[in-house]
Amino acid sequence: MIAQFVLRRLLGLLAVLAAISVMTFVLARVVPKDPARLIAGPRANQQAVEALRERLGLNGTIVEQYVRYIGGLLQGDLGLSFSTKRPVLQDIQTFLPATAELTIAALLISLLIGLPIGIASAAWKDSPLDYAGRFLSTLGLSLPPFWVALVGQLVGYYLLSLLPVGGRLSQGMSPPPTLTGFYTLDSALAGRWATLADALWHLLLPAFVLSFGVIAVFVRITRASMLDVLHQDYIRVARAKGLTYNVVVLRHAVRNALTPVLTILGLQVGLLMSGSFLIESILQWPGLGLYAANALLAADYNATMGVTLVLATTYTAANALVDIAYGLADPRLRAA
Amino acid sequence: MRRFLRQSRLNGLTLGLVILILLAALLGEVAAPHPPRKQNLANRLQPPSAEHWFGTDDYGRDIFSRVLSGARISIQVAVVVLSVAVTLGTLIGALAGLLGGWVDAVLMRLTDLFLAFPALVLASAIGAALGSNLTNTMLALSMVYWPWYARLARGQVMALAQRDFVQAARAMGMPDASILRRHMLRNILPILLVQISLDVGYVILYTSALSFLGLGAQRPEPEWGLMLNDSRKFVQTAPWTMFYPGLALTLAVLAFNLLGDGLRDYLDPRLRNQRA
Repeated sequence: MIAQFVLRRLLGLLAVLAAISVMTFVLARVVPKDPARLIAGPRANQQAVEALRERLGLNGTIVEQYVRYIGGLLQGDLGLSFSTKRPVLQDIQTFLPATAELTIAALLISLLIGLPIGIASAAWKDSPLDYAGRFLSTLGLSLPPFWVALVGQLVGYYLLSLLPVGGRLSQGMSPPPTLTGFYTLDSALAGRWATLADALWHLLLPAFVLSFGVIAVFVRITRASMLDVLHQDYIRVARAKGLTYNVVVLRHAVRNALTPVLTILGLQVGLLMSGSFLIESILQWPGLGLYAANALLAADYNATMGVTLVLATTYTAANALVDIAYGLADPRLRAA
Repeated sequence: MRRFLRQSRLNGLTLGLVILILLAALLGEVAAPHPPRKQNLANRLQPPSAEHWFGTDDYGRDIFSRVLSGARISIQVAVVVLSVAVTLGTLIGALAGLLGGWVDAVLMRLTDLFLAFPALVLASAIGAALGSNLTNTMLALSMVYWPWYARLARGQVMALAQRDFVQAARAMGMPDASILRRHMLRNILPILLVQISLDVGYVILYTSALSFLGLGAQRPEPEWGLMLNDSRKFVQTAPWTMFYPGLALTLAVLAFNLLGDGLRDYLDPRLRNQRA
């Protein structure tokens, strides 16, 4: 039963991934008037473009072209980036860990801040605290991440000199031996505490800026879900038994209110990825977002499409994983 | 209207802010004290003063005038994007919900495909494939937004199809198209309105984000995201170049977010009863 459920979800994931490849193919090869010109880059001469057209096999029917495209993808061929002159896949492997570390840090911050505010907001509904929490969450959703990053840089670096201007480590600090690619984790594993402190110090501003919007989402969902639970009969029963309000909130309500929050965890990964596109280049965080922003500016076509494919795949996989985990935890959802 | 205002003290503020933004969009270019695109290099990077309320940028252009004129671009894009997305999405969603079967399956897989990409990632990929300008930004954002309306409309149509008054209309031999037009659209409208007012804010935010990335509006247009990108070199020396465009953007998004929230509380009868 469980194996069947997991298998069905994994097959569904495969179907979506195949569909994603169709979409990126359409964007990469069908929508542009002259894909070879785009891939060769704005500075290439006509001869180079013609040569590339030949080499990429941009001839034949659409179906033939798709088969060639997917064949390349399955071998990890995302083409060459003309701005870094390296295979796009290799570039992505270089830049992905930094973004993954940043995204996970931002997600942790959002949970640590968003859940308590959401819970308190619901527990003391219509109190000043609730109004403050609700206003902060609306504000958090409205703040443009790229503006928050600029303001953060101004205040943290230029005015208070508290935070580094960018990068993952201070100049002259060598990165820890690579195990996960996460500087924080790797330096902790290697026992290099000074490097860990430096890495955390550099992570602070980008992760905090990135977490703003997601904190707001968590506050909203947690609050709504808590209010829902607090109206249930078993909460009234618990209160009638003579348990104090705080005990009922913490022991009975929170646990039941958190499941809907978990289901939207996967969706937040998408919000964080969109955010990393915007803030990594401002805060000079050397991740996929910085790479993608540079690629967009330079009209580096293969790099743009490669990043799009990788991010969409990661996003879809994250959502599928949440889905599966949720189904394992709650048997009622397996049938759906 | 009066009831909407009486429901929450915040609603008055929200409405005021929204009207202010719409006025800026309509009259901003005319009312601006200085021409928003006119350079004056002798006057570059001046801090805020009586002459230049928000200071000047690196070409000596008046930032207050540019911020004011920027409202038009943002509102224009939002109107176009949401008109396309809402029409296309509602039509596709209603068709899927009404016809069911394989039509539903095909259309919904299509929407799933668009939803498989993080919004900004898809928009920038479409923008990159089409080329960098504001028209393509509108197209890209329409493509990002229609699936959400398709889902919304489909769910609503399917729920309404079970209701007695729709069943009665069907039993009387009313064709599907008329049922949709005469009975269903009217019932979907309030929910659509709430979603649209929330999305105006987000479309404004994404438009600026795309311009910030170099995909949307191009220089010397007074677009907020583009202005923020140009201000990056002067964060330390002339922070007003980045402060005011960002503030305008935040207030615009906030205003439409609050409007959406206010409308939802106002239109959702379930919430209304709770309060009574």
